[in-house]
Amino acid sequence: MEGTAVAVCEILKYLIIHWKCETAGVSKGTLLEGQLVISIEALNSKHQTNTLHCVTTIASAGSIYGGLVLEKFLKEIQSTLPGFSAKLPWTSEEASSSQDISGVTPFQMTFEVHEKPRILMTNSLMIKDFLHKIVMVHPKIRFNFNVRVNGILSTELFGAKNEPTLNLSNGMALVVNYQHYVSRAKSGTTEFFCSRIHPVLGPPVVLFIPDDVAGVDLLGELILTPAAALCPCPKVFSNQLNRISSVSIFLYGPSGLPLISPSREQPPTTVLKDTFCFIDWKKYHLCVVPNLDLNLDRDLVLPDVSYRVECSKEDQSQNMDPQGQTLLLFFFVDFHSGFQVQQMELWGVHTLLTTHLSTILMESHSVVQDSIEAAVDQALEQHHQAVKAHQKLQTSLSVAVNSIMSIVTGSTSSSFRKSCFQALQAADTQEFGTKLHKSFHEIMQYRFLHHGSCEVKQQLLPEKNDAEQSTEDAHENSSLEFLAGRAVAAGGLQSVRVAESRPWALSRALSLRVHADPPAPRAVSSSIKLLRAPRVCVSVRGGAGQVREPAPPDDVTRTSGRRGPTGGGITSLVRAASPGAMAALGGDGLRLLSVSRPERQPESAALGGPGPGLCCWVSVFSCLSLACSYVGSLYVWKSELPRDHPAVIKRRFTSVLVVSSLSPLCVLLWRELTGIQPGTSLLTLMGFRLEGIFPAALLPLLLTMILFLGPLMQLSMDCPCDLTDGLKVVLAPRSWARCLTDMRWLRNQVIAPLTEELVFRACMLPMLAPCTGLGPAVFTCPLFFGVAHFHHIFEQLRFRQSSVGSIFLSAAFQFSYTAVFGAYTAFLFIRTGHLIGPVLCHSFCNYMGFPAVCAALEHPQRRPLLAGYALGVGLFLLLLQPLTDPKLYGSLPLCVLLERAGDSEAPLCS
Amino acid sequence: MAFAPVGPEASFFAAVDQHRASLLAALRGGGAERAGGGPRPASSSQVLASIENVIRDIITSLARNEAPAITIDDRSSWENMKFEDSVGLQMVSHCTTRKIKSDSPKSVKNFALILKILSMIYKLVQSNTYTTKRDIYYTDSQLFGNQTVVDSIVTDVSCMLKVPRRSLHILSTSKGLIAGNLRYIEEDGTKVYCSCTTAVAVSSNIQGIWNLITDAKFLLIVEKDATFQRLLDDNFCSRMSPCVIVTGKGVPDLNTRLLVKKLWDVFHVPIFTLVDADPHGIEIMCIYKYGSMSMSFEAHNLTVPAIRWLGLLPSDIKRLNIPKDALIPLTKRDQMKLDSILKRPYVTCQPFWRREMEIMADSKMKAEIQALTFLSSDYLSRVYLPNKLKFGGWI
Repeated sequence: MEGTAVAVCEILKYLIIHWKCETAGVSKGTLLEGQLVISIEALNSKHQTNTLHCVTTIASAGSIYGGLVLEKFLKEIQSTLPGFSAKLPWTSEEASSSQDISGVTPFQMTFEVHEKPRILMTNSLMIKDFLHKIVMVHPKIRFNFNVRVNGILSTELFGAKNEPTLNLSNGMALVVNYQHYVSRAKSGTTEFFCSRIHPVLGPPVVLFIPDDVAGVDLLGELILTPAAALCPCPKVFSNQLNRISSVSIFLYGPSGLPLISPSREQPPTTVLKDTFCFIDWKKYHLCVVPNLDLNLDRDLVLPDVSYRVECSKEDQSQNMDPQGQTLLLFFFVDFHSGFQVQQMELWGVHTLLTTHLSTILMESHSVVQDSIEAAVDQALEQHHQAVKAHQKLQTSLSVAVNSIMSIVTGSTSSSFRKSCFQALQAADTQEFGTKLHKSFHEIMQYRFLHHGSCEVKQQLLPEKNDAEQSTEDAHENSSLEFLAGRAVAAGGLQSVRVAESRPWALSRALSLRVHADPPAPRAVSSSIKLLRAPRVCVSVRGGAGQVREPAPPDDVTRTSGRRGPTGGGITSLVRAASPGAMAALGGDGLRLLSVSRPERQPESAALGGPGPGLCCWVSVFSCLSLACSYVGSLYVWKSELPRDHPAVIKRRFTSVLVVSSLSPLCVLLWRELTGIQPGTSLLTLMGFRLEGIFPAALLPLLLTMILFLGPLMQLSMDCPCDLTDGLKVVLAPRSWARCLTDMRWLRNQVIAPLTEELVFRACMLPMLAPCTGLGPAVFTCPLFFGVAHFHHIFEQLRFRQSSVGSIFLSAAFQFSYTAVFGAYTAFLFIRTGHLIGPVLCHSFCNYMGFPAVCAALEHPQRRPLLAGYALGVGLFLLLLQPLTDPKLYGSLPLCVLLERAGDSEAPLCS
Repeated sequence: MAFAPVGPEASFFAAVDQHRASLLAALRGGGAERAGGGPRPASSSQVLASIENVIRDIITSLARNEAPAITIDDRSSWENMKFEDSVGLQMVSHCTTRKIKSDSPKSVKNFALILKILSMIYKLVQSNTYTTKRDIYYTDSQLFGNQTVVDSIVTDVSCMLKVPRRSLHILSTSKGLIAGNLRYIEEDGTKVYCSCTTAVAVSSNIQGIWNLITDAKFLLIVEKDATFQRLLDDNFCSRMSPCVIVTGKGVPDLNTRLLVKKLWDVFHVPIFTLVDADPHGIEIMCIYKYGSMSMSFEAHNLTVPAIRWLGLLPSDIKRLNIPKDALIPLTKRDQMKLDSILKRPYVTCQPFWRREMEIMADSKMKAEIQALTFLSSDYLSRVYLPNKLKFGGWI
């Protein structure tokens, strides 16, 4: 590698490492997403003949390089490219042309170099290979690689955004489309039902860095994760007896960067040249020799190391397809540290790996070998299973054919035989046999493979596919032109089409999608998600140096990119969508449009944006859908069993837990839709906070116990054992174990209180409070709760446990009881700002049940008992205010929310 | 029968006789509608023709470039069962079917095996020879894998061709035993004398039995071989003489069921069952009485709805004060089985059975017949069964 290629690769490495470090601080494990443009412009040099003057520009847009200090970058990059700094004038531009697009500075840098045409050609192939390799693990990064030689432009796009991937840890994903690894099969394309490879990961191993490696002072460890896969998918290939014809090894360093060392004496792959170093190929009956015949000039990802598998002697006797399967091996070396990994440190690790990988791998030889072989074992296991399935098919086939043949030939009924022969148009038994076998084979084979294929439906919008197609075409055309070195005038035009077709296609996809979906909030949000993906179109320098205007739909992306997930996104979406789409959204869409324009009223309070009417509408709708989905989740299971049956309880646990864990999303959605800024995090708003948690857990429970003083006395009077024995029983671990295994206990005491309070209090109150105010919210919230308990009726009606009248009477009673109780816990929630208090109270009340007043009236010790009842209620009323004093529990998030909304001091907040 | 054992005095059988009379009356009232219905023993040519039809269908669908499939009535779902008090479980006429496709990796083997067994049956029927299921399995044990595969395919084929298994020329060795007052002649002319002292294996060709003679007042079906032997050892048979005792050694095989059916059809003697008071025992009794789901297509030849439950009733456990130590708690599997039996259609017309099962479900306890030995070693044969028979303790 020389000149331009080295420089471009190193710069890109630096940029990606920087980028990775920036995003790692925000969210670990997300894929990098964005676009980089690399353009090389070469003109015949005026000073030297047969030399091209190349200007290389690397540019990005959007907020990718927010934290990059250009001076520092230049200094550091120059130190890594010593050969260059002398020769090259480094220039950087602060790209003033795109300043107006957004507040962030796009990055752009340029350097110039003189190259021979042939070397430029190799260089661009190397760069392309490098880009392709990066794209394989960072599928969401898009590279736009332009080379213009004397005015002839060829463009290539790299990106695997919509291709199926296997998620690796640490923000990488491996693209599993087989086309990147082997060339399209020349024969029998119909047999390719599965277009994927199925990589299996070996166990990660820690690599030790040997002492003699100089300059190592790392605060973390290197971890190697091997992955192995057969390509193409073994199921596809199973009809041709499988043979592995080659082995390809790909090396990736930290941040998913290829470990290519340019022009160094010791390439990182030396150790792998020795074929038996890490894999005992004899174990797999493979005879492996290094393959040095690597062609850069292909459409595939170029392996770092490649082996050819020689045919063993017994194999040669069979007629083998020369093009067998390829065993792909990926080595991902990653750097883990207890601390936030610094950029320079990562850069250092990279340099270390590119120079000393062989030594490091040898140091941990045995563990590396184990891990790699584990992965290979698994991958080959798939292969063997496919072979086995194929054999099974063959056996079944021959059994079926032989049986039919034996019946047909043994039949004494000539008419039967004649009709059979006629059906297959066979003259005699022998022909019948062969035809039978053939047609059976064909049909079974075809269907069998089709059924057995591992293709998963690609979840793409069809419109987007369209766009992808057009880029694909362009990609092929342009690369062909470039490689052939032909001067095609249309090349320039081609790139324009690429630049424009995507955004347009995207907006079309969006408008269609809005059109198709019902105007539910969810549909809108998913469209927003689509929009949020950065789709930054960087200005591509034209031949005359003019700056291309961004395509019109970029307007959309720009707005949403800046405003992020607020109402502004919706506005721009609706604005961008065609009028038809707006009509499809109907009244709701229009209303959304009218309210969600924060730009118009920027100074209004957090709640000021959306009108109170809409806010209430959204809130009530959210609450209702929450309540419905909570109750609905109980009934998704079709069952004949009563509700106390353990199987029913278990199933309902799952569904209720799913719904309640999803319910915060509803609040999130509500916040997005109404644009309310609560001022605190959602979790705090929902009562998950630490401040004052102990009083919040104890005092409300105490208060509830005081209210239940009478029933508690009654319980202790009726208890057959005395207090000490009772306590012993209660505290014994066995009784707890019994409780925990009793499904009904778990439901009444743990799951039901937790989920109901979470859904009906923690999620609903923050939504209702801004709409109705705190006081009314206390009384409206339990309505949802009460209605939700109506579902017991259906159950009782279904099982006819008692007469219809009494069922309804008890339901009405239950409704009022739960409504009162709901109001009480809502009150507790608002006053304490904690979820734990209501949950404990709920659990306690579930345990006590409704006070058995009738039993108390007929109790032998009636007087003290009734006194206890009265005392309990009296004390409760007396202590209700002081024990729930908000001062005990720190600042109340709901009150903060309302204060921000400009409400005058709510009575419940003090 | 020179030394016919002396049974109890005539009045002992009053209740049994009365029961028999009522059964006969019900039979007469119900008319002779049972004569028809159900697959009749098919002639060889019919069997051959239906196999040829299956093959022809496969070949035509192959010729049309479609993947051939074999259609079999789905006997695994209660949706396809109808219950008739006089017959037992039957398949509904338009039941859902199950397709065994040749083009799905899961069923291709099954498809091939069905064809293989069809071809074997074809040969057997043509040559008028008989074989056993075990024999079929051993012809290619590697291909079939295990015996149950063969068993289920033979049942499937029998259902698909609507032909009783015997007409497929496939036999099964019978495991049932019979003892008591019975004489008959097998198809090949062998005279069989059953007696109260030695048990005789149930013939493997029930259809060929003729000239059956018995004076038995009742027929007792015993679930377990151990209990059967115990009853013989205790001289129960001779003391209750004349009677017949049969055991199917657990879940009854086809021949035992055919025999019980034949005895009922010929003699119309009351038939009682003595099973464990556990869900499994109830299940076995239901198979005798109403048939099983997997053989429901042949219910007409197999079920005897006149069978009554004599013991061990769950309510007896409490009534006889059987000590708690002799009882076994119901396992989870038992509970599930009990629940599933309670949901079956025939339980609705057996309120007494239902109540007994509810008693078992409530007490969460089951008892084996042997639990009675806790009371005294020969309580079962000396006290329990005689009293039950004398006072009509069946339901």
